[in-house]
Amino acid sequence: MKIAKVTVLFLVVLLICTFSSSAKTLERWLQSNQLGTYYSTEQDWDAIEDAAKNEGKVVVYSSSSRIDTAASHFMELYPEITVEAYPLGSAETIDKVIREMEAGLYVVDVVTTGGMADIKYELLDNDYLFNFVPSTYVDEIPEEYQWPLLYRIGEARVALYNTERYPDGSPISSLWDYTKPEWSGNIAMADPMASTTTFLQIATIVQQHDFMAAEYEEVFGEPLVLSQGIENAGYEWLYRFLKNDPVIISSSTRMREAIGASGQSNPPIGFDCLTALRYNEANNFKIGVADEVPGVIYPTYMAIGRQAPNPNAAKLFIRYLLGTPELTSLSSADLSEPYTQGTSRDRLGGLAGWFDPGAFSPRNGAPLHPLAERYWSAMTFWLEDGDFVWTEGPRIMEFWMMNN
Amino acid sequence: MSVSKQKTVSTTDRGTLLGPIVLRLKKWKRAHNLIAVALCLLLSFFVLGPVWELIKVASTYSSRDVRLTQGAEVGAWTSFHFKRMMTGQLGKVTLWEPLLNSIVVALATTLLSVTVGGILAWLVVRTDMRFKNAIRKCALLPYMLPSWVNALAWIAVFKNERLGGKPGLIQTIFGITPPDWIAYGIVPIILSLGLHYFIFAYLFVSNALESVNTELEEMAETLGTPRWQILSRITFPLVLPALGSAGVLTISKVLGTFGTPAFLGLPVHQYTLPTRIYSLLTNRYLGDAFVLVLILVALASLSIYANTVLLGTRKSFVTIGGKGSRLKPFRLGALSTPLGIIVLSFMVVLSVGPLLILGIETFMLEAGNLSLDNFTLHYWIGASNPSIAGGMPGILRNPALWSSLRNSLYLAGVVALISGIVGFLLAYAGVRARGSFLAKVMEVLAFTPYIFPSIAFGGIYLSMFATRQGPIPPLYGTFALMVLVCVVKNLTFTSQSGTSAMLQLDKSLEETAETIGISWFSRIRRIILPLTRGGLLVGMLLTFVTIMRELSLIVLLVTPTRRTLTTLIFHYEDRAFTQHGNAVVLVLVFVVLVMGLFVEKFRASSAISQSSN
Repeated sequence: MKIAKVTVLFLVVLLICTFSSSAKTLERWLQSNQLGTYYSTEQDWDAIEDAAKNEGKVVVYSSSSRIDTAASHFMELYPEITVEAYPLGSAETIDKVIREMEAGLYVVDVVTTGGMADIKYELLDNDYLFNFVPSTYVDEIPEEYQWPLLYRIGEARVALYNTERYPDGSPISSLWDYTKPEWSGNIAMADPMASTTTFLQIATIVQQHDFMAAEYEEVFGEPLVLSQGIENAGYEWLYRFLKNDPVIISSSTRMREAIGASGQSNPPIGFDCLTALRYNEANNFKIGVADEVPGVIYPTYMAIGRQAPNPNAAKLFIRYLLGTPELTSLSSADLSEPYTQGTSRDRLGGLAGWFDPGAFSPRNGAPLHPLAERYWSAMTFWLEDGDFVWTEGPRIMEFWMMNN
Repeated sequence: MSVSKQKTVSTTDRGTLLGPIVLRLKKWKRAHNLIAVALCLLLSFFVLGPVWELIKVASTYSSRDVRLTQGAEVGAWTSFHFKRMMTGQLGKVTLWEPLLNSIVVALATTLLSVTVGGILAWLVVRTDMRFKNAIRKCALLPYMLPSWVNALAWIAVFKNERLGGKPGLIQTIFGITPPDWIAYGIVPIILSLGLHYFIFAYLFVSNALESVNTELEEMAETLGTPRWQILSRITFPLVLPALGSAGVLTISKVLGTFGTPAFLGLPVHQYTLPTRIYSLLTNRYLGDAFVLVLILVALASLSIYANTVLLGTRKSFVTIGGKGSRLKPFRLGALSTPLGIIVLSFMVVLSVGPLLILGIETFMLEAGNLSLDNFTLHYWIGASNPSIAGGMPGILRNPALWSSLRNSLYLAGVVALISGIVGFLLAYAGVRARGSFLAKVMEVLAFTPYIFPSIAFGGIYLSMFATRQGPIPPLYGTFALMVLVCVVKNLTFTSQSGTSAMLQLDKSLEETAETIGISWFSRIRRIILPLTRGGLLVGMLLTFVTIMRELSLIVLLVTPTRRTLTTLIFHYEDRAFTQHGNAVVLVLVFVVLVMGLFVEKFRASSAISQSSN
């Protein structure tokens, strides 16, 4: 009997401790690692580096599979630290972090992914992630790229076509072209229910409904008449787009192949990341950008996971991902393909894997890919709006499911 | 009952009024009753817990719903998800269309597999068709393979250009573009599932045909009844229960299957309930997904109930009567050889064909390109090359293969071991307490997981164990969760195979030992285990094979570090790394076949025939 009583008492005490201490543990962790409200731009990098080497490991969840390139370079620079990188895709990265944090499993050190809506409302607001801007580069990064979350890179989603089939330039110049009968059944895109960035693009187009209404008039020479039950030109575009039998290809590799493979008689048009251009050389694809169609910029952010077991290694890895100190003094002439090898890699550092036409570094003066400048300067881009996607996103997702 | 034991007990308590009660308590405390009570408690938690979780999540608001509807209060009870899923355009695309597809696929697949399996069984058991032994051997292979291997092979053959990438073999060789409805969707789903699951009908019906009493048929024959009439009026009704059981098993398997409709249906947006549930769960529409799960469970229960009502049996397998004298085989005459050849080639194509197609594809640099210089070993042993498959090295050089092989073996091994122990205890307590209330409760509890389609069971466990459940800490992303879900889902089979092993053993053996005062542990170790070992081992090996090829059950639970061979294959195919995926399929098949050979060997040596689930 006595033993039973003691056991019960012990369990009750244990339970109370577990619940009451979690808030305190977080506070202590934030304080000792200068994160959250304790964040400061006075950072002792020698101490961080030493501590990181002691930690010996950093666990990274990434939306991009190219994280492996960065991981192996980082391990060459810091042989004392093992990088465990998991390329999960954007949706799965966020999902995994939520589930783990809900379960109280604090195992991830660095999370780098896109999709501000979910990141802000489900991760940041729940204290699952904490922003960290390395002091080393703080003056080189515009304020809006630093908070609420630090940009790792900015990327763009654009309209694509096959340059071999259309050598005289893009056959499309407006988003409304996607709703024309001549493209029926000949549009390729990823599934927005599986790809966060594809969904972001759709949502942003819906958000720009005033622009879409005005552009409709320009393209067709008459005002847009909304279909029954549809509230604005953004949804109307999505409705007509889906009625035009777009082919949803779950694998983005295969989708790029569909648009860009050479020797096709009737290749589809589509949407993808501007980054798709990098496959032209490697895979002999013929991907071109329809530069009159507005693109959508979606940043990939990075942050430290709550109560990360290796906070210093996390900080070091985040700093590494921003590139080398000399990055901002480089021009594209100082670099040569392949960027992920040799001196080019040493100069680019953590940016090497993403130094391609479709991405830009948040640091002022960082070089752009030689092919990139004309797109970044000439095209219209809309920036993803996390608040809009958060409030309107579920309705847009439903609209997609219903009309697909 | 052990009379002398009761005597000793009562003598020690002689003289007290409490005697009879103590006696009862002592009897109650006997090992098998204690085991039964413990198992009932444990199973209630792991089997009824999910039922409660399912209902709760489907009927309460989640934090996500606040953005979809005004006035939603997190945790409050509501019919919101039911209304959403069942009405309007959203209901149509997320529930009604997938439901219709699921029903059509389940019924058509079952019809196809029961027809093919039934005819095959009759030909093999009751006729003088040639090559019967070879056909019997071929029939075992599809059983060892995952159900979606056919789907992958189908894609390799019939793929058209709709989804981009290189076309399939038909288009390459004949220049004909297969239309969408042949390349993807309902028709190929039914064909590839039907030509996999016919093996259940074949096994059940051939077992029944072999053990059924042939007296009636013999009498009819003596009376000069035409053969076809004997077949339709006597033989067919006799094997009907076996056909029915096979049908129900097929329906419930098909209803919960995820792989095949995912590979063949998603490219053309044809959803079945499992693929829709998967899509909703990955987008975290948990409540909506669980409404669909409830409907799927209801469907599966309905099919079992229908079987009970129509055929008056709930056991998955029924043997009718004892062995009668052997019936003369049906003479096929001149057809014996040609029919044998046709059936044998059909079986060879079905069992080896898909593997051969996938195998050839792994050696092709570009899938579908048959020119000689396109053949390569890259996908097996090649080093990383940035222009091929995003720089992914050949699988034998790829750490992902080895880690998932390890995970698969480890998972299957641990599950087989635990299932073996649980199955043994369930069977021991069940057989010893046969007829008691406890035994009935155990039976019902062990049967319940069977009605949950695999993908649904995985989804519920994911949600249930994401947070602390009583003494069990959150299990998201852990190996333990995968083991747990596999053990519980396989309980029905585990307890059945355990029971059939236990029934080999006469109860009186243990009772005698008990009477002469041998302790429970010694009895188990010295008498029961040695005598049931063979049957238990076969059960464990079959569980091992089942888990090795499991996808639907764990696809939602697996995290990248714990990827198994099956989920690695799904991951590769989903990302269009076709050849890599196919190569992993072959590795998986190799491992499963080796294990399968062990099963056959043990089964033969332990000489225990049992129904296989």
